[in-house]
Amino acid sequence: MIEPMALTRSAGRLAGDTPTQLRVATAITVLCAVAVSIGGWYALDRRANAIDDAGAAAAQLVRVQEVRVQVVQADSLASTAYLRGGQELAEQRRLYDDSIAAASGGLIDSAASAAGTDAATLQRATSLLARYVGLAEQARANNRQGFPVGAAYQRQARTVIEDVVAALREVETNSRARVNDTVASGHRSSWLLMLTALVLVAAIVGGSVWLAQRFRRLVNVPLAIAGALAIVVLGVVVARSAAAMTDADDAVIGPLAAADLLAQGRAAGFDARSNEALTLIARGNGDAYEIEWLRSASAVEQSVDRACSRFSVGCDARDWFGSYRSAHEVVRTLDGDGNWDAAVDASLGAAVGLPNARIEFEAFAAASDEALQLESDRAAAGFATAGDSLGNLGWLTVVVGLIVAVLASVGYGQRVREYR
Amino acid sequence: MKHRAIRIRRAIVVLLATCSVASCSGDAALPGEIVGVAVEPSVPTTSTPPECTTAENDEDATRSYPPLAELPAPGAMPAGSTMEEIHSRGRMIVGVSADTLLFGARNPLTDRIEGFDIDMLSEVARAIFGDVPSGDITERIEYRVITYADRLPSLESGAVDIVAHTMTINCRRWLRIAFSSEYFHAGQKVLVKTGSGVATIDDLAAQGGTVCAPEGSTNIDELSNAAKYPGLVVIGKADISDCLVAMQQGEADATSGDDTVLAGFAAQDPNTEVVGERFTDEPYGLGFNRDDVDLVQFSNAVIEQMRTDGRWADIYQRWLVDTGALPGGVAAAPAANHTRVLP
Repeated sequence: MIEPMALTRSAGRLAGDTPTQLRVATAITVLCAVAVSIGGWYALDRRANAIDDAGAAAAQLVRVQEVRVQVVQADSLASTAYLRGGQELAEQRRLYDDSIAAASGGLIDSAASAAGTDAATLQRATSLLARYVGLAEQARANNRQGFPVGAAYQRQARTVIEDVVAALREVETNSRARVNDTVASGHRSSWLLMLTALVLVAAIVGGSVWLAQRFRRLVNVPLAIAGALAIVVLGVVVARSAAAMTDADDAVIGPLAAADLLAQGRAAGFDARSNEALTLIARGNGDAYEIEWLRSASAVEQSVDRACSRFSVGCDARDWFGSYRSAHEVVRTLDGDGNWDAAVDASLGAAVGLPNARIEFEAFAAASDEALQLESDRAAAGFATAGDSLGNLGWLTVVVGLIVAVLASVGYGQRVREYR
Repeated sequence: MKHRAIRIRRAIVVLLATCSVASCSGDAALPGEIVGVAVEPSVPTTSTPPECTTAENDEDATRSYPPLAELPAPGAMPAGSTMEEIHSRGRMIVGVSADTLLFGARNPLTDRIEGFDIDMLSEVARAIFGDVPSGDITERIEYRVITYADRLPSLESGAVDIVAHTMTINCRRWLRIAFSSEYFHAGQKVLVKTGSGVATIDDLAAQGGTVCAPEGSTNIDELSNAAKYPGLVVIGKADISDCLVAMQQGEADATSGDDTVLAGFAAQDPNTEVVGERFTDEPYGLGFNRDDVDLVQFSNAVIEQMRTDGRWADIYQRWLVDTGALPGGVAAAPAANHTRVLP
């Protein structure tokens, strides 16, 4: 404990006679109580804001990741549809349209919640997505008419989608940093509350001891009530504030971290599926796309492995991706052996007696989506709980500080009156 | 003094303990982005392509090796020959274009690659494997879709047996690969937007227009001659179909390439037209690895047969006359020159 009696004694010695010493002690205690009111309110307000900001940054991260997933999914569907030529499945077309609509809507929402460079980056992503849709439509229209120039449009669309993904990843990185910064800021905000509360309790305890020694009375009731009130209420405030921060921490290192991993895994998964189609479009010359497939598959496996081992979520998705990898290896073997038609059939799920890459991939996509939605909702709920925990603690601190100030004045006032 | 120091230490301990209860430190943080890894194949170092001497340049580049005096029967390829290797493998691996309409293009309705070049390869495959029960010889062909720039490297690395990709025979390429005799004679022309007023490549150069051509092609080599075409702005693309896209998107005013390829573009985009006369000669040959001289001789014998038995004319009729791509009827097959000395 900070030297409360020494503090008060020193003040008293400096102040001279006892009534003056009492008035100085009153002033010190009242000042400490007011400091708790102001400092505590400020610290709790900062913590509440930090938790809100962390929740908003987490929501933005999840939103942008969902846009990335939709964008990559749309490209994956366009690439595989290209393989089917004029035989594009109506269901796949509907999914493509839905993905583009969801990505466009998500970009608008994300841009509305973004500021600074992120807003400009998302604006760029929006215009690039519009360009992608135009190119993909040109590829599709040419392809359906049997015009090979469609392949050139498809290649160009692919480079544009890579730019969209790069822009979204930039915003994701910034959102991730914002979550971490705001959580750290929330942690740092507690020191002012702690310091002022400790000094106030020290002043009250020190003052009570000094009064007891100086006036030979065991307890100064108002001061004792002030001390008890300060210790109990501020203790509760500090504990609840810490609990709120712990809730926010738990949301970050629990469901949000799991959702982050699952979203990254899903985006990389759809990218892998696109690259599988591109290896087949390149027909026997798709080594560069296969390297990209391997890179994406590595990202998927790292993501879902971690999600499963650390958070016990996405384990189904991990297993399904393993099955998809096996099916993809069959596709590559068939293509490498010159059996391109069978490779396409295995990739599109049209082969009998061969692994069905489409079915395995769709199972991965569904399992990872379900787990992601669950974890995203849990993360949002975690931040909401953390914010709610703080409630009106700031105003409670203000009121307690003022009551303690009044009680201290009354307590010391009783002794001052004895000198009149 | 000693007691005071102890008290101060206690106070610090209490402060830190309380502080940790109130979460002053120990920030929770999201880890960074997951980065996927893949082992990339080592890229071979590129050396400067060899150049022909003046004397070599003066010689007729279309000279190929003499054809085999007698074609072996299908399925009975000479032991140790490249043809036998292909036959025992069960398929012939070829490098082709999949987006050069009329010569090598994927038909999205059938998913088959088809065109003049593909039919030429089919005849070579038929000579090696004979007729197949299904009647579809392409089931013995493994297609590798390659870009213009990949044509020579894919032969040099042995990734493919033959390249049929509207490839011009010239002296500089002979230093790296081998060619069959000439199987088609094309020439470089220019594709412009309909009604642009440009009638020749010189008109385009005079206007300071932008022309697109595929990288690694003889077309772009020709256009890059600034002394010949002053004022012409040249942009290169990985594939010639990217040039049609560049025109449609306004990046280029024109595309220059072989008249055969441009005819395919005009068929895909009615807002374009092929104008002017041929300003270069582009003799097409099948490409081979330099060491596969026996396969070159074998293929030359097949092509020679095709010239005389009407199969070459049938292919021309199917892809260039029936489609209306080139004016007039079936042209005469280019004369073969088989005077190159065997190594």
